[in-house]
Amino acid sequence: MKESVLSHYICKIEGHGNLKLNYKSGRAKLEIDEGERLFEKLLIGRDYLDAPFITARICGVCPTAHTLASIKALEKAFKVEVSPNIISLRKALLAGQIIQSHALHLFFLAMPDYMNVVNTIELHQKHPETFELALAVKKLGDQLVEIIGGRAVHPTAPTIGGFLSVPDHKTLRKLRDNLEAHLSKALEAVELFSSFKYPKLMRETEYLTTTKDGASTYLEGNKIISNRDLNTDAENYAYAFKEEIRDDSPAKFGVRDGHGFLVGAIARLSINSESLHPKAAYAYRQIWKKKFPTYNSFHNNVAQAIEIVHLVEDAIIEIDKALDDRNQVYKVPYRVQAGEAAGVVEAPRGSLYHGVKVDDSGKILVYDIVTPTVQNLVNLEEDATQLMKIHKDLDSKKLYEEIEMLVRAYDPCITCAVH
Amino acid sequence: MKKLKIAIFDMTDCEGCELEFINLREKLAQIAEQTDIANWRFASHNKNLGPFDVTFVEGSPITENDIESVKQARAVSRLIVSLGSCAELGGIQASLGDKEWKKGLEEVYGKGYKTKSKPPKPLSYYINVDIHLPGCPINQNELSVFLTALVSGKTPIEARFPVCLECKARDNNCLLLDGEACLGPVTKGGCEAACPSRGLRCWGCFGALAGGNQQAMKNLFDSKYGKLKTKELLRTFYSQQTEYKILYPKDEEMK
Repeated sequence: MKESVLSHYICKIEGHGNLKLNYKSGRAKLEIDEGERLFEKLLIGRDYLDAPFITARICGVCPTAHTLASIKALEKAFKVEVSPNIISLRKALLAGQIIQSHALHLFFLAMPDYMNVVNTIELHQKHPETFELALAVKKLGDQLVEIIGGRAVHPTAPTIGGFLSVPDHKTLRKLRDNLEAHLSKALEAVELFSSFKYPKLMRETEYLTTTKDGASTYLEGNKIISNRDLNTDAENYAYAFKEEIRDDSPAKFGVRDGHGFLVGAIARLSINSESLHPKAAYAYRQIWKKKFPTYNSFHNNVAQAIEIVHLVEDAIIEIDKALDDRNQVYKVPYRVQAGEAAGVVEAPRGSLYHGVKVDDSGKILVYDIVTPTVQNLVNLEEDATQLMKIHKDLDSKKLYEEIEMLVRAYDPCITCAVH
Repeated sequence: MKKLKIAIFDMTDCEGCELEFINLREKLAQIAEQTDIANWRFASHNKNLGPFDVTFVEGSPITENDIESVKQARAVSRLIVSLGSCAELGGIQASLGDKEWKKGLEEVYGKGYKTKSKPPKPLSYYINVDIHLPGCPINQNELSVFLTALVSGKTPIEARFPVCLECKARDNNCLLLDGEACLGPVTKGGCEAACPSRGLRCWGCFGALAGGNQQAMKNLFDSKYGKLKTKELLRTFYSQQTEYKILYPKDEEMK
């Protein structure tokens, strides 16, 4: 009997995909089955102010990252310089976005694989303390995004030039104190995810991230670097790798020199582990204890947990800066002008690029979006093929399950990949 | 009382609305205890095929499998609830219209590209929908109240009022009077004025309010922003609604 469409797709990932394992050729393939929404088309001819609002709708899990990448691209095109307190609040907001997304992935999508439950809600009764931990960590990110960005999904407050509105100082102070009070929860998350037994996998690959002239950053990237020899301006993203269209797949595939590469938490940590804030550095060295790069993509889970600690610390620092800044202007004036620019941020799943071209009335002429998942797809298939090679003797059901776990460890966002 | 059997399915969209279930945090755990969440691809390994008492459908059916899924879901569900703007209105992606969407495929993917998809439509284009939970994204409190009603054996009904009502209740500055292209007066409320409360004009994401004077809004915007810009403003979320089709009867994309 034909399988019902109602149980057709890989569960606990964002978007619709299916695994195709070809035992004859020994190759694994992730088939993407998501409808084309054509954001790159529907922005053409629209007003520039529409872009941060509309591109948020690409992804419900990382909308704030899209909004910020869009704002960054447009501010660059208009040559807008925002003030340090705006940058601080944006950094705290982006930290909240990544914490939210990592917490969702770790606790609600990945964790059931390692705790033998069908979903995390079951833990409410089976392991209440773990369930409470999941909610506590998720809440750290949600609160940051709700208070600074306006709401948990699809932000309302950020705009070109700054913010349409900002929380008062009392609210911000309460927010940062709450982050400090619950930082220990983030460390508990690292303990939990370091304690899981991850499948064996070891395959060297190239890790990419964006930096601010070589220094670790999430919001202010202007260079793309790798653990190999890549070092180029972020504006050149289209040359650092190619987006290939394959087999009528609605998702494109990022390829660099004929191979896959990897962006996201595991790539960032493999390149920037020296720049972690103190508690995150402690979590990395004393709790996790292994050294990145491990070249085991399953460890992306642990890298995300360590990043949560780092970003909670980061948000506290940035909110303090915003509170101390004597310049309390949250929106700077700017002049709309013709221009072309790229904006990049480190989204939860890796470097996210928005490229824009506008005319002198602010009408959008070209809009290009390159998401992290598009960059990771080829590497994912290469890793999955490697697993098939290692586990030749494993029965097909077990092998399939393990590759599904690998897919989840990548935290792919197919809704982002097809936009 | 027998536990309600619930399913949550997602079609093509951003998955932000079903994420609001998880964002309910403690409340979700409560609801899960009082119901049987039997199929939820996004967050669970359960793959029950029904029948279901209540089925939430998020997203607009675009791919072949999307369209097949919503038909199958309808066949095994007592109540179908549309979750969010993509399901109820076709979403932002429907704003292109059929012809432009088809043209866009070639522009984004190149000439030889073969799609398995049809132009984005609301859920009701393919199946009967019993109740709508609107918004881009849905409102968390509205979802919470909705679920509480369901588990107490009630069938929630939709009662709507303009966004302005919620805006006034919050003592917000009127963005329309400030010169912004705010769609609050003619858009369904229920969002707790999420956008205007933070200084962002209403984009109309809950959809055009039945009985709202969209014609007056169009006339005002036409004179202020010009016809082209006005159409763009109105079509972002309203494009598949009757209220929009009345304003733009000759729009060939509205078949």
